[in-house]
Amino acid sequence: MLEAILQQRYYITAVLLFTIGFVTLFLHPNLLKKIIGLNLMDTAVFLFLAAMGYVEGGVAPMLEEGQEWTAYINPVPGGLVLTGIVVAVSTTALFLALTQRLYRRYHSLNLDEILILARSGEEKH
Amino acid sequence: MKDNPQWLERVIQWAAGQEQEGPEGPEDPERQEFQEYLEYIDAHGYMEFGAYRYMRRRERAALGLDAVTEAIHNPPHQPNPPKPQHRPRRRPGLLRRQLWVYRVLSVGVALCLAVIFTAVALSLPGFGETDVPALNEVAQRYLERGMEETGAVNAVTGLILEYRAFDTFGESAVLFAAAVSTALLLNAPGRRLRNYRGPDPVLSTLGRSLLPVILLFGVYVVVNGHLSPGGGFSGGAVLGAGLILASLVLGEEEMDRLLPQRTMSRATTLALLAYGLMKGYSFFTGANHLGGEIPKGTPGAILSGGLILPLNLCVGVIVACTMYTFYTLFLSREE
Repeated sequence: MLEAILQQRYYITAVLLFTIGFVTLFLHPNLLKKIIGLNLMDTAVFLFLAAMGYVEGGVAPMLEEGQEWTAYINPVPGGLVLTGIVVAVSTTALFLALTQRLYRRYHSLNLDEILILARSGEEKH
Repeated sequence: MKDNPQWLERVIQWAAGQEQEGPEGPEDPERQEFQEYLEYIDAHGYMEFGAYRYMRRRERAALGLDAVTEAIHNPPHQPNPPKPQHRPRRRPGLLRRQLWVYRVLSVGVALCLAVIFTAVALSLPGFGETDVPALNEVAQRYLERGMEETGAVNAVTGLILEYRAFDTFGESAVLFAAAVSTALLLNAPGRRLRNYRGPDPVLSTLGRSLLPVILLFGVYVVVNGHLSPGGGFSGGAVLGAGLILASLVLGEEEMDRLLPQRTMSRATTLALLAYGLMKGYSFFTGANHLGGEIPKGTPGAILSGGLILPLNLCVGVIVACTMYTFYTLFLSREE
């Protein structure tokens, strides 16, 4: 069991990171910390994908003539992680912009407070 | 009895049942008013209280007696009434119980997910093993024939800009959309006023010598994307960081003069358009390069790899401009 965990250490780390990010996303009322939790989950997925692509003894896929293809690591997860990073950056920027707009309006980053203020504002109008 | 004020004296007399004046005492205006009120009710047969009060108020206003009443009924309008500080520390009971359930449930869901994921991770093929299903014929094809088919030494660049160039176009479009929507959200009307921050002296001294190196390295990574690790995305990120450093070193006012927001968005749009046109041409003249219109060049030379170099340049411009745009948008601004 311990050997298996040590063997799969990158996957286990990815699972731990994902869980930490998940709990942060769900339990923290602060919007910035929610975004940090989401980024942690992104990072966990990237770690998992990058670890999937590794081959024992493989080098980075800078191709050379006359080299066996098994000498390189798998290039497909690299491309996938690239896509993931770009999307993560875009969504983070969008979330931060939305958070800034919320802060400008309600002067709070606490989601519960924002919801209560928004609800009382609806009742007033 | 002589020391008491007048009203107290009268109360005492009233309590003792010996009022000085009769029921229609002439010198008491309040009493007179009440008498009139009773007569009014008698005359109308019912309690038209509102109408009576209205009549009274008009009479009193005519007499100029109404300052106090007016102040009570129509308090002076405050231009900015203080908002009630609504910062609930304690929630109502129901919400609090729901919150408790929510917390327990989310921790439970997270734990369940963690257990399931760990079990899956332990049953996956071992880390680094060579006979995993992920290393299938797709990876084999990319690694074996990638160099002759794409002309790129870097297999990942060949993969994302030749085999899967359309996906990368989508990625660039996602970045562009994020930049545009962030600009829409943060550049609200009425927020045009900016106060520029001048350069920080320490950072400026250090950064002036570092800045050219960083920008040059960014350009190097973008241009050599098909030959060495890197490419448009990573090189563009380095370039964007260099632009942000330039904004810190030269000061925002200078940077806004050199690279205004309009130029940035124009560059992004043009790069995206150029990407679409080049890749569209490549698809149009024989999808999957059956015709092979664009010369591949010798793998390893800087001018090789067909369209990969210009595509990398486009992606680099998009990423660098987007990073810098995010930076300028999220700067603190004067309200």
